[in-house]
Amino acid sequence: MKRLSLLASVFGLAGCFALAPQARAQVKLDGPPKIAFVYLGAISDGGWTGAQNRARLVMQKTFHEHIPYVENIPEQTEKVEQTVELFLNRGYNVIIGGTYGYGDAFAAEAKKHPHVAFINMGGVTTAPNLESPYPKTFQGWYLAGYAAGSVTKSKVIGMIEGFPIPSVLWDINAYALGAKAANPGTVAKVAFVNSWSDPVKEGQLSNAMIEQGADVIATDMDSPAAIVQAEKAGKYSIGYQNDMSADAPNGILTSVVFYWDKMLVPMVEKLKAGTWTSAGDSLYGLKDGMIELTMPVRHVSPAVQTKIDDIKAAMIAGKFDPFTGPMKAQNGTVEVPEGKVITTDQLWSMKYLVDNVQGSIK
Amino acid sequence: MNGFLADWAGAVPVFAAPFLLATTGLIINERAGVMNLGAEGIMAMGAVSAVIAMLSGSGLVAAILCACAAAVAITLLFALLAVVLRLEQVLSGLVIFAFGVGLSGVLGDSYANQPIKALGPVAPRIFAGLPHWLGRILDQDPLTYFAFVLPVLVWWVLERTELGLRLRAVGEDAPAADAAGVNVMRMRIGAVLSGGLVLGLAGAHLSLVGSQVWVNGMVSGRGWIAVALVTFSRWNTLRAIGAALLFGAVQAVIPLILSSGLNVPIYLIQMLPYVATIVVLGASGIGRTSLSAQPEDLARPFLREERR
Repeated sequence: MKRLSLLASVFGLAGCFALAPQARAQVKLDGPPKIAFVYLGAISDGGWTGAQNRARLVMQKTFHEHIPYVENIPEQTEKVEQTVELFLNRGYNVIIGGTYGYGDAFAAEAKKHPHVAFINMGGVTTAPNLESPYPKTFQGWYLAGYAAGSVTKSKVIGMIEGFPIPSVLWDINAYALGAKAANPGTVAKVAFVNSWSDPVKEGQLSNAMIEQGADVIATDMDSPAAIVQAEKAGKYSIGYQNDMSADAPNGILTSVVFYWDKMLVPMVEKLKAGTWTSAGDSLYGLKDGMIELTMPVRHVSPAVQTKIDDIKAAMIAGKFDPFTGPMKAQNGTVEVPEGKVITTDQLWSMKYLVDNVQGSIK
Repeated sequence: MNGFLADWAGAVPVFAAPFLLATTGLIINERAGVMNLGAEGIMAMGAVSAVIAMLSGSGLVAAILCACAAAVAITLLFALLAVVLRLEQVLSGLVIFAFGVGLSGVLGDSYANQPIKALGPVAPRIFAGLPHWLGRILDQDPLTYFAFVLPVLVWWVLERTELGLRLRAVGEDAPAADAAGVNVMRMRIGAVLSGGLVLGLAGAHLSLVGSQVWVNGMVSGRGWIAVALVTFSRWNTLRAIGAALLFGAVQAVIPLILSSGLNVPIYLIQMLPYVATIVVLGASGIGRTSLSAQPEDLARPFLREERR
């Protein structure tokens, strides 16, 4: 029986390729979707994994089923493969991973198991049955930057980040551009922790920025350490990934929040209907509800709130992109010419800071 | 002297304090002849316990006491392995390192990422009349002040009291100390536990003053840096003040440079503490004084009448 189905799947796969070698095939699961999550960190990390786990909880409610997970699986191919195999042996056929570093393992497993759907949040590898989605965080950060620009008195705002990679750089760039749009002449300072988690350093960087005049501190990290220091200093702050308003109740403006469930629930529904196809290396944004700002934005005037709502609506309608030309890098190079909008390839290869960012990525 | 330099000078004590506490704790250990490589794990236990206590509604003093108690508890295990059972000290230390970091993660799991009230400055108003930069330096929290007082006290006890003499004797030549009537095991257990208590304070400083939040793995190698600083300060707690200040100064300048907006190579800047560690270890290896400063019986378990 097993051999038969294997044979069938081989022919099935061959058939797919024969019929439409270029088109993305619909993924046929062996049975009804049984979902399992593989997490990089702990669900209590307050950030990346915590946000993914919120989505799992929503999915449990939506689909009325228990969805298992494993935490703290490091980005090592063998370990990821072992974990995935364990779930597969238990009959799970929708495997959702949570980090860039699972990419290779997921690609290998996807090739081995064509009747299993693989989704890797934050990854870049793809296959007919592997999708690697990422949020358009820059859309949220543009709006957050607009809010920051409209409340800053010193015209200096700050942001604490992990490593200078494209999906992090587009956050600081959008934040800076949003602030400039609200308040021309505003500069955004950026500092990299050189780690995804070092709360002591995050707090120290936050303090150093405040000493150098920043009066809004945004964190692009998991922990609220940076905005806790801003709160202590009586400055404004912006949270990330989860609603951080409890961490800085007086000074927080808003948080750029992830809702992975907005992307995952429709995918699973399509899998149930047998109509899911991998969108490859995909981006989901405000339009999908994947990224949201906690509303209303605090400490801003009603006029600014209206403006933020308008920009958000324009982004959802596809009429506005934060990275619209002319967009200049620090060194004056025009990265996006006038009248043009950044392309997805340009997004993923972003290796510069825009001209009103103070900081270095070298 | 305002602006950048004042910001820098003002930040140095806070950066130096956890290193100074940890180094002092380790020196107490090592002067009694016990090498404790578990510092990182013991600090993690201190850091997490302080946060758990704060989130459970206790005050700052109680939180600090909890940090010390948890650190002493895990150090007790180290004392059992390394002193009572006379296991290889390096291995025992590594076991405690892994165990402490792991246990702190488990205990702190449901307390992670929840901010706590900060340990505030002693009395900012007193310093209002002073020059700005001096006010910045002096305007620190009580734990940071304590970090700079403790090494002086420890130095006095080690160098000027009979207790200190006995402790040093145990570290230099345990059989001789034993023959002179010093209870080597009791002295070593006492030194290990006191050192562990101070390491707990170092951890509490990280979470109560530094981050004000618990995150798994947040000690981030600071315990290992303290191990290196012990050698650099030549097992002398007064020199440890200088070593920690030097190290704190290097660390404190990084966020200032990074957030200044200067177009500087960030990887080179972030390398500074590690470069400093190498320079410091190299410097401490030069000259005979450093060799003679190391306790003779360091990391050597004591068994009466054992052939040595």
